[in-house]
Amino acid sequence: MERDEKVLLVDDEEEFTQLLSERMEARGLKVETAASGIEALKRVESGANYDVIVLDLAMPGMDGMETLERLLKANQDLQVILLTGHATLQKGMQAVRMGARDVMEKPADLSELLKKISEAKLDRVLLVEKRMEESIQEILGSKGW
Amino acid sequence: MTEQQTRVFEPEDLVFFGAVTASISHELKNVSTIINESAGLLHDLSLGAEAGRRALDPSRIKKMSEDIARNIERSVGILNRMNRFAHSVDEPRRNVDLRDLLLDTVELARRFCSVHGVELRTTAPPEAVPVATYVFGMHRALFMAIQATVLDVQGVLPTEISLSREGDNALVRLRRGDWVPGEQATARRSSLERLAAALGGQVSWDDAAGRPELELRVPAA
Repeated sequence: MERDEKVLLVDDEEEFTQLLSERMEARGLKVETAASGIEALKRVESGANYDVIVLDLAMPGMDGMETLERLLKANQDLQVILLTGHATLQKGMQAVRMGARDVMEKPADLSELLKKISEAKLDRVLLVEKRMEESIQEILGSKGW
Repeated sequence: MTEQQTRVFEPEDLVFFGAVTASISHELKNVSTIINESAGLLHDLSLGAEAGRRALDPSRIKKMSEDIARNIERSVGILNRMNRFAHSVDEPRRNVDLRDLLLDTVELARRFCSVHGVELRTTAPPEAVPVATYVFGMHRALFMAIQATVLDVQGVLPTEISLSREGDNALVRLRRGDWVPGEQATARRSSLERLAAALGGQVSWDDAAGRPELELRVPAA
């Protein structure tokens, strides 16, 4: 199956992001990497468009939760999958309440991660289409059409 | 049991033990994740070669195996440090080289400091600095001192830690930036003063503006 998801990998362990991005690119995904939450936020705020962001929870400085909150503030349609060394139910619920799409424990099974990325992209497309439709309805409504 | 052996059951000791072991588990998880991705990539490259899509590059495979070996060495280092820390509660008093104990504590504290965006820089003398001490207690005192420079100091400077021998004492000096007053900072100071006293030493704080210092002094062996 042809894949073309555009993914941003955010993790301070650059060796990890290099390896994972190579494996994803070999499968057709377009991958960018960022070594910090701040770097990820700068990219999104400057207009970079990603189907999915895969985000490490424990990072120095701005951690995964704060990065998640600020990313979604910058773009509410973003689909964010959190990666954590130790996934607990509490962490998972907190992340989902804050707007994360999913939480996976490291080391993540690549085929499982790719499946979640594919589903996330589809949901994002539907979300964006829905917002466009709502905008169109609003414009039509304002003109009395 | 002696009084020092029972110290490991004080609540703050258990909290410290838990925090350090949790930090070590995170470090090990990160290294295992890298090794997992390396193994995955090797598998991908092998499958690609089998299917005739791309020939295996021997120099690439060699570099990858070296990277895996390096990460395994890193995990062994973490496990050795964890083992030394676990055994630090074995005896109430032991002769150790404070250089080794300090360097181990710095590594144990590195993740905590990194999360707060603080770098650690350590200098130690070339000759041994022997002390007779309760090793776990000393780990905790050093960790608390490092913690104080992270939590109770403003700014972006690294924490500079130096170890030296001064007369009959071993002296650990920490500097970072201006101390920020507060209830929690005061509580941390009191805890560290009590712990240093229990170890037969003392801690002093220099609040002078500029680059104030924290000094932990313990009797040398």
